[in-house]
Amino acid sequence: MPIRFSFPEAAHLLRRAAARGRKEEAQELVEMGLEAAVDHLLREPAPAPPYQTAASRSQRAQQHLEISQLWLNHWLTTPTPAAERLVLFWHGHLTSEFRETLGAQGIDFWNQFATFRRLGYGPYGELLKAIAQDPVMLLYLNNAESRKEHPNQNWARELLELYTLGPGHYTEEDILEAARAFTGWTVRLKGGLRPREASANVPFEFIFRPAWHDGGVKTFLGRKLRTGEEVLEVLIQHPQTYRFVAQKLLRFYLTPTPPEPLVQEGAGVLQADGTRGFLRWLFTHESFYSPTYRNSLVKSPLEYLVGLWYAAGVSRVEFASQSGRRLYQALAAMGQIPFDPPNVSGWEGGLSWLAESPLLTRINLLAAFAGREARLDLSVFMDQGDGTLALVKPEAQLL
Amino acid sequence: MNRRAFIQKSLLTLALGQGAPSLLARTALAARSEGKILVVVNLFGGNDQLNTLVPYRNELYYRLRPHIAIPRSEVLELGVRGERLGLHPALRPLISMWEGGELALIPQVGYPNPNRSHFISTAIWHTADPSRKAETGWLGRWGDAQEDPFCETFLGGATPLAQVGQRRTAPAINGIDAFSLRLPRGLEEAFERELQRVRSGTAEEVRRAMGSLRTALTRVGQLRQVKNQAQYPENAFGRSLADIARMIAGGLGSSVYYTTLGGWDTHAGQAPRQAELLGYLAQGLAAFRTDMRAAGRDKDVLILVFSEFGRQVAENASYGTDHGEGGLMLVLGGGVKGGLYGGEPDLEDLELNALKYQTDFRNVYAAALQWIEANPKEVLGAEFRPLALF
Repeated sequence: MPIRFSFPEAAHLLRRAAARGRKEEAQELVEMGLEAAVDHLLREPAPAPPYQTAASRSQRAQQHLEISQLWLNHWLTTPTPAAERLVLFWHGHLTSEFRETLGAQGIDFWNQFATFRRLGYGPYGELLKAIAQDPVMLLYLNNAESRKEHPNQNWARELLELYTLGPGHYTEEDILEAARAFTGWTVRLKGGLRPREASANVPFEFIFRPAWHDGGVKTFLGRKLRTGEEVLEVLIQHPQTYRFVAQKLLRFYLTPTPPEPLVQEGAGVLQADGTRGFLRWLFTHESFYSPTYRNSLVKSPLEYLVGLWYAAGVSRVEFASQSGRRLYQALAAMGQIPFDPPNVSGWEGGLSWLAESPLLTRINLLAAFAGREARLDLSVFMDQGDGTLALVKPEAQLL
Repeated sequence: MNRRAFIQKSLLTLALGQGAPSLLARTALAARSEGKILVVVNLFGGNDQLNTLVPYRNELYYRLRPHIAIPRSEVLELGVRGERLGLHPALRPLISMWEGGELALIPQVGYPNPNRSHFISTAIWHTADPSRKAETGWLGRWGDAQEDPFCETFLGGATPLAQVGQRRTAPAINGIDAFSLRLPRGLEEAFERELQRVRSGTAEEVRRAMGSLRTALTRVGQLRQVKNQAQYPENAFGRSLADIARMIAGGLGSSVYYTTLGGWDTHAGQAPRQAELLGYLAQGLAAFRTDMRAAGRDKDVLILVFSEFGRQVAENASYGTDHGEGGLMLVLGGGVKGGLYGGEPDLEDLELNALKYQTDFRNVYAAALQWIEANPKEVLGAEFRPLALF
């Protein structure tokens, strides 16, 4: 049976895919028809603007503000907003925390996001390989300092637990062996500059230091191997990796509790056709439009803010200004600062966003919209979005 | 149910019913406020026991940690009762409590078949279930049996699993001063109207969250007048302890308060980071107890500090330590029987470079539950002998 694709379905699709939209955009999707609408949403991401800073390497808080603002403004204005919601997904999955990644600069985080954008729709294995050599990741999970004498286990552990197989599919020994395989994967400043002589616009780059590398044979998941590349290859071939990531994707795009048959099916699609193929499958699946899954996700603070500002016709936030500073503090109080998840497992999401204090912050933000009815278009932002007063409905919090 | 519990319950039932006079509400709150209070501090990330409670007379400790061991000259000695162990210098604010017999140190606390994942181990501590079947937290299960939605409170943004029960989740209050609804009249009236319209599915869950917020605004709003006496560290942890003190002094009525201090995952460059965090912890706890003494509640409050695991014994190549197993718990307060609950760790009998656990954390939980007059067996699902901490 063909899926009915009229305005409510198009608004649902646009909200889920991009977390941002206005009436005329949903109408355009209806006119395209479902298949073309999905292809339109999933087209190649428009590039984000380059990042340049006048801050010094030690002025990291300033840089953090600048890249946060740059990203939100890009999400608010890009012709391909679905790519930015996917960047948020990868950022919450292949996590790095700005405050915990000492040494890394705004430019390094901005480059990591560019990698999410460039490879985010493709095969998961390609993205994983790029992130395994991403300077921010190497610094964040301490692999950059890992040497054969005492391998650092942090990256190896999270690679298995959070980025590929999930708990229960490996042993402590597998972690130790993988940590040995990744010794010597480290970073240096581009051109070999020293931090003291470099501006904050000089990024880190990956290098392999053979002298730090443990070249011995390792036993990893029952296989004999030597290098980090081989560890990644084992994980990329492993079907459990796709079940694990497909489940996370379904939680982000469909429901907090995806049914097992959909996870299995989605895992197969993800492994065969990459993330764009997975999203195309999901967005054209009849389950995606069933009443059970409409309004079943809670907007994250970034999605709430981007969706709301866009609905109000605002295309720019300025965190340096006084009101912008308050907005940034509100993001912190709601529990989601860009580039800074609370820990290595990312944001928990779901109803945990709506504890008393964070929910209060969300609601208090609405005061800014009183008397601005003229430009406010809530038809994609929420169901039952009939006028400014609808903003205090529970539906406003849903995706 | 003892007599006081009965009176509390009857008064609260009255007070929460329609049209109860505010005097009764105040009496009910006051009756509750005389009970014992548990404050839980969760050190997320895995605090390193060996550099907190230092085996400074053990040569092997210095050999295994050539770069990050705490120098003997800097260790705070604990005297005879501390056996051959001493405290990290940043814990100096706790020394007077140790000397006053109000600080219990419990080394190598853990559980059978330890898990070295932050998230799994944290979930085990929060649910008090190493078999990982429980879906509710230990304090959440206790809260399920209480009448008052404010029987327990979380200080922060999102309530941890420990305080999630079947029936409800502890309110999460990030700070007293900012906790007020600031909407123009039209929106505020619409907010109240929408609260009355029952939904289904996730929208109904959101409506309930809005309802909990409404209740919390009323209860917490009354605390804005209460001021702290002591100086706390200028950070989120310090502010949350300061607000717990205000909540207790102002008679919010919770029997359990819960807060977190993160950042203990010291895989690299451990020494300065851990020193900074231990400093915040000790300064915060000392300030909090000053406030409790000022409020006349110090003997009623038991503070329990835990981390999801300790760290490995030999340092790694990044001047840090990786995830371990048994870790250190601290229990303190005016009513606590201080001392060392366990011996010096055996650095030669390790499990994949980690200290083996000695004391099951549920024995400590059992004591904490007894402190708030709860039945440990009902909450923990099995008999755990409470550590004699008070």
